[in-house]
Amino acid sequence: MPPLDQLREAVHGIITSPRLTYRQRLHQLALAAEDLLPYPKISDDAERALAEGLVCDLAEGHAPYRPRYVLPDYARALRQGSDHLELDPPSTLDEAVDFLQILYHHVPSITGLPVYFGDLDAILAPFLDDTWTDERLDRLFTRFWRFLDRTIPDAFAHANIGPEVNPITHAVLRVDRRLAQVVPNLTLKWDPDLSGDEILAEAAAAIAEVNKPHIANDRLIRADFPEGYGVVSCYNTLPLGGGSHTLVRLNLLASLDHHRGTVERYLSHTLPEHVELTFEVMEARIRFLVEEARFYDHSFLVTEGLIRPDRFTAMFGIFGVAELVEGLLPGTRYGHHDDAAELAHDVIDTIAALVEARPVPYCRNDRALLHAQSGIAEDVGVTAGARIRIGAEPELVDHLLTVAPHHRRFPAGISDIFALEGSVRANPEAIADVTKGAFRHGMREITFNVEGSDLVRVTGYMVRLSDIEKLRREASRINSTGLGAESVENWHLLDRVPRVIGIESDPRMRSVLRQG
Amino acid sequence: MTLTVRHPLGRRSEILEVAGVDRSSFVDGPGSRYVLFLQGCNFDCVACHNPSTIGRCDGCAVCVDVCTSEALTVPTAGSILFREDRCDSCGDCLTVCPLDADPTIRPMTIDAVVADIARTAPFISGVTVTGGEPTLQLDALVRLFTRLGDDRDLTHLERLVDTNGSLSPAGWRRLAPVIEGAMVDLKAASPDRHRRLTGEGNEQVVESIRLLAEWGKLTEVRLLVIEGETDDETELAWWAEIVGSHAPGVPVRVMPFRRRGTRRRAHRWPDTSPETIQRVKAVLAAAGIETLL
Repeated sequence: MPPLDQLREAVHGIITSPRLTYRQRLHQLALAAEDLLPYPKISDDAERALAEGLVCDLAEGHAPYRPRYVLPDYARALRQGSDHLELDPPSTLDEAVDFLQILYHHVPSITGLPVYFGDLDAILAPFLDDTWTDERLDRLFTRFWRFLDRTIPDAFAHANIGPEVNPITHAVLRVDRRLAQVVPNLTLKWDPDLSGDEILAEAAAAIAEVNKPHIANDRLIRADFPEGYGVVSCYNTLPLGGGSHTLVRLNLLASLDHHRGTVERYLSHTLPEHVELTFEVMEARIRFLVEEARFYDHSFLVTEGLIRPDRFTAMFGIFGVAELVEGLLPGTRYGHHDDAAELAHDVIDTIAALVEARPVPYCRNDRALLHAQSGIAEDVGVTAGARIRIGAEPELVDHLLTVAPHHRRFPAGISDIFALEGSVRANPEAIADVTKGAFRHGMREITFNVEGSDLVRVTGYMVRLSDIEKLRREASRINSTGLGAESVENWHLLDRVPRVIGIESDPRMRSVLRQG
Repeated sequence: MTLTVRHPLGRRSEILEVAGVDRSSFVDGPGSRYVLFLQGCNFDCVACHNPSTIGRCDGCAVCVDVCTSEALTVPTAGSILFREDRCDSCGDCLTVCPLDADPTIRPMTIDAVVADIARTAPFISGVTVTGGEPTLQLDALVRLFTRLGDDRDLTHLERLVDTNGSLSPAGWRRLAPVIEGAMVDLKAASPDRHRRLTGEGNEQVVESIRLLAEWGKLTEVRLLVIEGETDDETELAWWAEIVGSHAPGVPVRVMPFRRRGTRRRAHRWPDTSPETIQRVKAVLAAAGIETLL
């Protein structure tokens, strides 16, 4: 633990930072207080792995007192009302939107704000009647969207639409495209039969303008989550009515640094050891959350049945696949050479088998779920998830074919961001073509960044480039802008467009402090 | 590693002389498309932005002398070996070529092209063959499109050619049945101006436009707008008259001239301004020709 005067200095820095709003300071102060507690008990080896960055807990904090990601069953809440919040079930669409707006403020996550707004078209469909013309829907959703962006200012907060299409699905796409806001992040769950080509064409046209929505391969993901699922934060697919206790990730580049010997020995010895160290940290964090902080014993979300402890899993994240395979096979380039791609497969298969075999306490089906983690601002020199190195991407189709086979191995989500030239704006059908091809090849999800937009993706969340420019001078009302700013600088994002942008960010705003 | 041995191709119809491939083009027709660039053109357009696709290599090997990365060598007299893995893409070989040819292009069998398209098929709406002038390799082109149309897994792909319109009616009668459409450039209405801009007259081009429109195979007519050349009001009126009478209702696209990549006197011409494009669109609209965005 750092000496007290250093902590005092950090707290003073938070309280006086001109680049943090009042609420952002409050959040930072809570983090500083949490980290005064000792880390949950782990072995010396695991402690060393954390300190060296071999294992990374994404600075979630020393004493987890809420799950990282929470996906309430909003449909149930709308049906039954809430005793805790003293709310009757809504009976009209206006009331239902009000109800949700209230409920969101009581849904925690690692960011202090909700990361999931629900499958809005599906949960609001029961309130639709003939009086809801497109024009009225657009007015309602314009107000709703403005409320979300101004009061839940964090781009990890995510709305879902689809796979079934109703007038709200269309209204959300229209309004979201027109307002071009950072919040909410948006995913269209798409299934060729349930959703059809028309909504995909609308989504493609929206992507061409505002780089949203992200598109999820509904049929494939649904098979992994019979209870239903939501896409939240940077493309994490998680069980509905549950979520993820924590996300702990293994840095495969650091793993390579610890390895001496053959590729075979790496797969048979080094990698399993490092996977187990990651599990150790994960398990200690889950036990603290469940047994010490006892979140699930106290939350009204549990007592009212909006989340169920047995629907919580934990996310086992990996990153740096590209650097690992290029390090193990010197002279090869991942994305260009077949043997590098094959080794990437072997590595991922090995990790997936270990994750599928290892019981984890208090987790859905007693298991964690594998996730290709999309990076944080500090990941300089190591590539997100299983992505191809930035700047080394082969042409689009080869790029898609290289990464597609990995997707089935990552039930908790894997993302690649595909950069498209601005010429696609005149021909958005091309976006639909590429999406369909990707899904036919077994990709779980796909995201695009079209050159020349102000609203761009950094790893998964949205940032307005104009906001980053402003942040150099003053506080941003949007929490995640600071993360984007650091990512932009570390990864030369502005120089690189339309190259792929890749890094998820630390959703804790530490990066903003470090910048100061 | 790609090893390419260059030698004269003659009329061998199982081989396509391929200048390049784009497996996800957004600008060569609707949707994402597989685009095959074929080497060689019978026009010599001043404004060509891709001049190294014009010539056919005769094996003179001038390029080999300037290749400092040793990607180009002469294994036997009259042939040039290209090693892609050594190439640093400096472009010097293209600059020195007296024929506007490209020693890095590769002959591909139709089998190989079909296999590559099949691999890309899930991601695309169609295939566009351009160049160069694709119809110069007519035999192979007809075979390629026939193969695509006959293949159960590829027959849904829309087949387009992007052409200068110089193919003879006899040639079109072979090609038209195996394509969904052709995009034709009419680079100038006046035969003299056409000759000045392309080295050839436009009589055959106009005839191609008429025939393809009659058969319902004309997807698009294009006008490259060059300030001081093809934006002239008299010229535009004439252009509108040709297109309006021979291809009524066919989509028309006007495109701005860009200096980038051009040679000779075109390199001194200005980029066409958005205002000029708007003016041209207005003149064509007044003559009853609606243009695409």
